[in-house]
Amino acid sequence: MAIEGEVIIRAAALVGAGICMGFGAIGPGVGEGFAAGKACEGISKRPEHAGLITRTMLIGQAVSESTGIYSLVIALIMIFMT
Amino acid sequence: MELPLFELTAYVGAGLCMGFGAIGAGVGEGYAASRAAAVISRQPRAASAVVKAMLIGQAIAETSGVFALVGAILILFGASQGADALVGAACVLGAGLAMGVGAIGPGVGAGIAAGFACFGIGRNPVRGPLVLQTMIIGQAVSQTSGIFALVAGLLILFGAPEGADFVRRAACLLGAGFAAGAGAIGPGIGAGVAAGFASEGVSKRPARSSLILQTMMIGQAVSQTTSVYALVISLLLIYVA
Repeated sequence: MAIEGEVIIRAAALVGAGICMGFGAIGPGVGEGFAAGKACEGISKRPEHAGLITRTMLIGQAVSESTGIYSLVIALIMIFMT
Repeated sequence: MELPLFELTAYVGAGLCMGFGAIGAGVGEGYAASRAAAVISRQPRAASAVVKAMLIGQAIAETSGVFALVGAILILFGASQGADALVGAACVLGAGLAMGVGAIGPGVGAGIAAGFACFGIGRNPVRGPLVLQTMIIGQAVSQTSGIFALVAGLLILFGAPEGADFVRRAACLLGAGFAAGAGAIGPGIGAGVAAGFASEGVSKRPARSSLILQTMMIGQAVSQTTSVYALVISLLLIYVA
């Protein structure tokens, strides 16, 4: 079966999009979950500061999410723009 | 020599599916047992409550491994080649990766949650049912990313659209399988860690359990977002690309 150059480039981009988003979902998932867990522990120790703790957790999780967004963007570029 | 590409890849795909799928449940359930044993050594009178919670938590951690087993059996006995051997091979390989790798995170996460919950119940057996409830809710969120991966795997195996562009479709299915599978690792583990700390927090401060549960769910929801991204990319690859 003869596979032309352009076809295999497009195929590689599609597999690469999957690999990109697949690996990219690992880090933020673990990190944000750990942040949520420690926030719950902090609230169990000092419930009167729950609002402050939750806000801090969300800010930290948003920063942790950034690389996941980068992976999503690159995966979308590889699907639609190559 | 004409290689039977589909049959070869089906065996590889089923092997990857069950091979990867056994990791998460094994690690998670072992961790749960270790924390349960540790707390029983400190509080022997809480043993029956702790063991009960451990078994329930381990059963939930086992579910993702069972999904991987079902996936491997479907690949071995339920998959057919379709129009083209290359596309059929990509189907079974992609589905095997999705369902196998996708079982790692939820298994480990549910096991971590069970371990922390058992520790909390050992220290506060009177509030055991409340801690158990928190653990189960948290574990359920951890399993959702595994469900996403299972659904993607089933769609790759049975629901992919027909078409003539064989190389492109094969690449799409392989990429979709990888995205859905690996996309369940992080959120599964993260949601499980969150559930674990929340369960232990409820055991220390049962009066504020609803506040802790609420914070856990907000945090877990943020943690699950990347598994949703991965599912979206996977569905785009199957149906749009």
